[in-house]
This record gives sequence, C-alpha cells and structure tokens, in this order.
Amino acid sequence: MNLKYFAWIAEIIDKREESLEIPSGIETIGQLIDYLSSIDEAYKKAFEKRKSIKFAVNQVLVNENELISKADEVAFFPPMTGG
Amino acid sequence: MDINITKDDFDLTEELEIFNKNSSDHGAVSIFIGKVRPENGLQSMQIDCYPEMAQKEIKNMAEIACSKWTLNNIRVLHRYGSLKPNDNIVLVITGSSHRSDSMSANQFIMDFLKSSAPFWKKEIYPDKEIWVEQKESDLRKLYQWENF
Repeated sequence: MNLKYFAWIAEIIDKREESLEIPSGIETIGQLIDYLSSIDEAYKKAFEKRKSIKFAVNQVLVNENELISKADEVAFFPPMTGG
Repeated sequence: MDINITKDDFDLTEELEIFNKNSSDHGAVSIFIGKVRPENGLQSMQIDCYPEMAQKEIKNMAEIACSKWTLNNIRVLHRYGSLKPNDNIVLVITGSSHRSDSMSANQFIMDFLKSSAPFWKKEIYPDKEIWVEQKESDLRKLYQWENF
C-alpha cells in the first residue's frame, strides 16, 4: 500500500511517502492507523491527535471507516489551510 | 477551466491574456490575488501541498461553481514551496456576462481553497516555526454557501 504524509504529520514520521506491506485483516483507515501506531513510536506520536487528522484514499477525502485495499494510495494530513 | 498547482510565481498580465484567449466574451472579470502577509518577523512561509488531490478537488469545486453561476471561464493558480512576505500565493480569475456571477463564484472558490483544498501553511520566524491552524471562521464562510 502506498502511504503519503503531509505537513506536521510528515515531520513527525520523518517521511513523506512509503510503500508498506499491510497485514491481512486491516480493512479500514481506522484499523490502518491502529496498526501503524503499534509498530513505531513515530506513527503513534503522529496519530495521537487522531481527531485532527484527515484522510484521503486515492485523492478523495474519506472518513476512518473507509474500506482500503493494497492497491490504494492512502494519505494522512491535518485540516487544510490553503488560499 | 484551468487549474495550475505550481512552485512558480505568476504575472497577472500574462495570466489575463491566457484567460481571455480561452474565452473572451466576458462582460465581467473578477480577479483575486492572495499574498503572504508580512507579519512581524515573518521570514518565509512554507506551503506543503498534495498536488494530485489539489488538482482534482479544485476542478470539482470549479465545476460546482459553474453549476451555481453562469460563468464563461475560471482560472485558478495556487503556489506551494517556500515563499517570502508579499509573495503571491494564489490567483483566482472568474469571467461571466454579469458581475454578480463572476464576483460570487470568485469568493466561493476562495472560501473553498482556504479550508478544503489540500495545502498547509507553515510560518517561519527567526526563533520558531508554526503550522497555521484551520480557522473556524474560514469553515463558516464555506458552509454558508447554499448546497455546499
């Protein structure tokens, strides 16, 4: 699965993008966050403020219950501040 | 309709020429330029961006604008990367037969860009760096639009 991180989330994880093998049984964004938080302190720290994080699957904004698959591009970012 | 997500600065005269070339039968053209506010001590502003998603989201929003108002053309340019105080950040040009359409659509697109397009601003000062937080007032401006 291709994962992307932006803004302060990318700074905490110290990566902007990575390709990860995700174990079977992880079917939603919420489960993916739980899994990532369990494998490394940096993810745990980045996802601490879970309610202030937004997610996109294949560049479309979704919620935590969105189903995901291996071929998806999943992005994590804070609320947007453009313009 | 043209959406451009870029690190490069823009020249308004050139942008208007392109805008008019694509559709010149406007009775009204509205232009908005957003710039880096020269806050006290601000050295630079770093703008992070998810370009692929920004392109899609802004296009969707421009299509919604076209369904809400009678528009002849829309051009949106949003910069990312490292910008200095007074640098241009964003340009929105909307054209229509009558001014109310181009002005309303322009404001609608800007309200969308402020809180729903995937860009993130970080202010760099000599002694600190601050990620700008989303403002409740910006969200309220977006949600006040009917049917959004």
